[in-house]
Amino acid sequence: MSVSEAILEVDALRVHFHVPRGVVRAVDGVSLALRKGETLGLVGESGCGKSTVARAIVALVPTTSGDIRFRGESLIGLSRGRMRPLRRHLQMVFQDPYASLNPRMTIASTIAEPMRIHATVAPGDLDERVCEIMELVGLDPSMRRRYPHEFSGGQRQRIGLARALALEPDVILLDEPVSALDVSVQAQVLNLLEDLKARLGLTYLLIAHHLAVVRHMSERVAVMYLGRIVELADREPLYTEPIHPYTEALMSAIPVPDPVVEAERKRIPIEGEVPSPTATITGCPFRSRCPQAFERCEVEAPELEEHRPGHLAACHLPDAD
Amino acid sequence: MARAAATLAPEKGTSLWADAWRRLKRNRLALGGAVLLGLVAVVCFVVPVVLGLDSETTDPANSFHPPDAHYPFGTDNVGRDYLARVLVGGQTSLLIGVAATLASVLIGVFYGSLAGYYGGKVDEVMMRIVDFLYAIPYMFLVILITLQFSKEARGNPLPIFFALGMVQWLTMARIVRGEVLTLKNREFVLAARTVGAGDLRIIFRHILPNILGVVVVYATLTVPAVIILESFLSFLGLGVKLSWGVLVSEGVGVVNPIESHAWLLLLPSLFLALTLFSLNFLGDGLRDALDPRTRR
Amino acid sequence: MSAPLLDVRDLRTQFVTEEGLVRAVDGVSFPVDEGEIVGLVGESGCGKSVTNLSILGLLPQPQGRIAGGSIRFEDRELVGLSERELRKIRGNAIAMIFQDPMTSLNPYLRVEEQLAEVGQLHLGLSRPQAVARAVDLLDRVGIPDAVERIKSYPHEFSGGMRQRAMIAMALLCDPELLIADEPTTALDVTIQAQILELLKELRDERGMAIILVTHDLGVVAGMCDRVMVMYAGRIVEEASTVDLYATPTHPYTKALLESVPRLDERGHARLRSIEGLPPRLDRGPFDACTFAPRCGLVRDACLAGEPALQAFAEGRRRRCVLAPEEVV
Repeated sequence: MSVSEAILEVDALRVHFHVPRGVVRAVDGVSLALRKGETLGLVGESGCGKSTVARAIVALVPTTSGDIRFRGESLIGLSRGRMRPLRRHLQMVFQDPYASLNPRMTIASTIAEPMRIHATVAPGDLDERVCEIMELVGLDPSMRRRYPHEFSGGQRQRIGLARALALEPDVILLDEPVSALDVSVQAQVLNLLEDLKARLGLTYLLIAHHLAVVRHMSERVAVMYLGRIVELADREPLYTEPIHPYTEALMSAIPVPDPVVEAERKRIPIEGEVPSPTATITGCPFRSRCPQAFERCEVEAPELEEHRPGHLAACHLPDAD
Repeated sequence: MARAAATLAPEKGTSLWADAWRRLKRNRLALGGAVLLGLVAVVCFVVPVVLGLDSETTDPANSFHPPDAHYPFGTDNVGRDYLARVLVGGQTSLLIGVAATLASVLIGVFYGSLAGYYGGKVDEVMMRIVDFLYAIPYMFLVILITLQFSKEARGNPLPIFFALGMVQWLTMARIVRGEVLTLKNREFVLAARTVGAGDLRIIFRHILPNILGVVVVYATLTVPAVIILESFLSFLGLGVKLSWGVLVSEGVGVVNPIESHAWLLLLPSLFLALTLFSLNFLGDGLRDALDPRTRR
Repeated sequence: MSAPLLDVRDLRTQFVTEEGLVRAVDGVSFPVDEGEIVGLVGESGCGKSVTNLSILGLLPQPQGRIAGGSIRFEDRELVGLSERELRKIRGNAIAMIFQDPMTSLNPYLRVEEQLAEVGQLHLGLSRPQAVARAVDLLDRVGIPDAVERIKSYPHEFSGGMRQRAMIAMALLCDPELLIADEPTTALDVTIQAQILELLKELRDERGMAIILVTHDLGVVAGMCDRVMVMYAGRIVEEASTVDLYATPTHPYTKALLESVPRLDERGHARLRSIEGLPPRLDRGPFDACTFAPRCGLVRDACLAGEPALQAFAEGRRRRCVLAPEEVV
């Protein structure tokens, strides 16, 4: 698939927040392109800016600079009126299935709301459409007049997914869609996401801290650290031959559910913690924790460059070898 | 098939209000409160008209007449029919309580939700105005507002409604703003924004229903507060001519250990207490009824 | 063989709620030996945390109560001890750390006050001695510049640092047993790896036993000597970690292991999902296997009565009517 088929492009995106202690550079120059029909995983630890990227795409947070294009059309600086029809194609599923549903609305009203706003369905057909969508995500339509508190976490996440699907979007941003769920329920939701993608031809941006979930779901993966993408590649090369020391350390830190494998695995210890988001950073943002940092890392911030075909990384190490 | 039947059944009775009403009906205590409150209101407003009671005609020969068959509530110091006075006074007290609370709810919710929702500079300016108004002693504010009305209007309940409402909305606005501030960043509000909901829809469909419980409870606390404030104003001669507050304060003045005249204090107090009790039960019930998580 | 350090026998913990009696833990038995790391895994509501709260005597009052069974620690019965006696054991011979260190530290007190207080109360140290000991331990758990950092307030620490401080606090009295309830769930993976490594080192150094409660099967695989899988307030399988992962013999354990995506997965196998939900524990007692409604291998015998937890091989127990080799 060629890059020209990008359905959603993020170009040099910056999102900065002003706080009493200074400026938080939540997203600091992120570029990525989502190809039609793929799942792109966006991983990183808390505070790395992965959720902010998604929120900037759906205009929940203002963009400081950079561009976001959907099917070649810029979403930045659009008036609400111009933005609204485009929102139809770009939907989001939130992390917390308990906080993301209005407790005072029945689930039928929650699922119907997007269709009411955009008047995509005649009022007389709304109820039938709600039932269809509920069946699509594996919910019993006879439960549609109930309130969110009557559903389990997994069912609530299905409701959130139904709401996102109501407008028949092309792209769905999945912000930690399973991290609040129990493992057996996680599998249900992940399988459902895969089925829906195949059936409806969806494109996913999957944001998660869980590298195994991302590996399972994505065709390509981008790793973020401190507001920047440090590595971006197809799944297999990224997991088997990572270039960036952060990616490597991150993967070695994830425990594998197999004691034999665990006993043999070597952890790459990374000391210390992520620098404060308000700190001014010179050079490479990862150098304070990088076991392989050298002089150049202190003075020059590495750009995200293609080191192998289709395998991008922001690191000076490959040049030094 | 269950599935087909479910689809065919029209979606009805799912509005927040219909559900709240259904839940309220199952709460006996709240329902009792509502019935009692309705009863007090009906008695105050209907009985004086039906029986042609007169609350003003004095009869010095019959002053301090204890309750009996002819004067069920007795008479006061100048021989006025105390039943008529208690009921007509109740009209004013209830009207002032409800109207001033309504005014405070309307202004407070509107003001507070605007400040909370838009935040930033708007919030800053709006809340400083509230702080400023808070800083003025409320009695002073009420006196100023009352005095703005012409002499003829004195003793008329309208300026009092207005004055008390003007003071009570400040706290309501603060409460509402705080709630809106926390709610507007909840994920379900963000989710509504990503599906394209506008500000009005977000405020009316997603935020206000979720603060109704707090508003209702505070409003039911405001009604008694207003009734009591009104009686204090009446005591200062700034209030109305006749209300439960006026009767209680007059009652306190005439009750004495030798000739107790206890009915002059007890009867209006009883009505006041009944009203406040039922308001509290109704308020609690409404809060629960408006929350779908309540199991009943 | 000497008696185990901790011996839980037929523990039954119940909660009285508006919905009825919740049998949160229903007949749980297990020993913990000195220096052993035991994993307690299961999904939310399976009773793993309640088991630990019962051991610590920290059940929410007045709803929670231990309705039966025994908890012996160093040959002393803990069930029925007075709050005063329990307090002497808790934070002393048995210490604990929780998921969210922020809720276990008082935000208004400096870390120094909170750590030194423990040393003064439990060990009878003078204030300077207690502070010195606290600094030593903070240093041991990897807090840089401990002499200065001990003067911080909890909010000035990052999540990882707070968990380290909690571990230091737990170590102050040289506990025999450390109960760690989801100690790394709130932390990032790189920090999680650091904390888990630290716990293992401390076990090797001090020979203390650890009960590790977690829902993360990966954490268990790397940390524990022995695992108990809990479901609906019961232990459904118990084995050494290596055996459990190699040959799970309970359908729930097997499904659980197959439902998590693995970092080292090859190709793309569809995840196994367990349909449905665990039973509501206020609907008990149950007269059938509690996993039967969600089990792919269910048969008549499963519904005839609740299977008992039975030993079937060296160090292995399971609660299932099928033969181990039938679970595929």
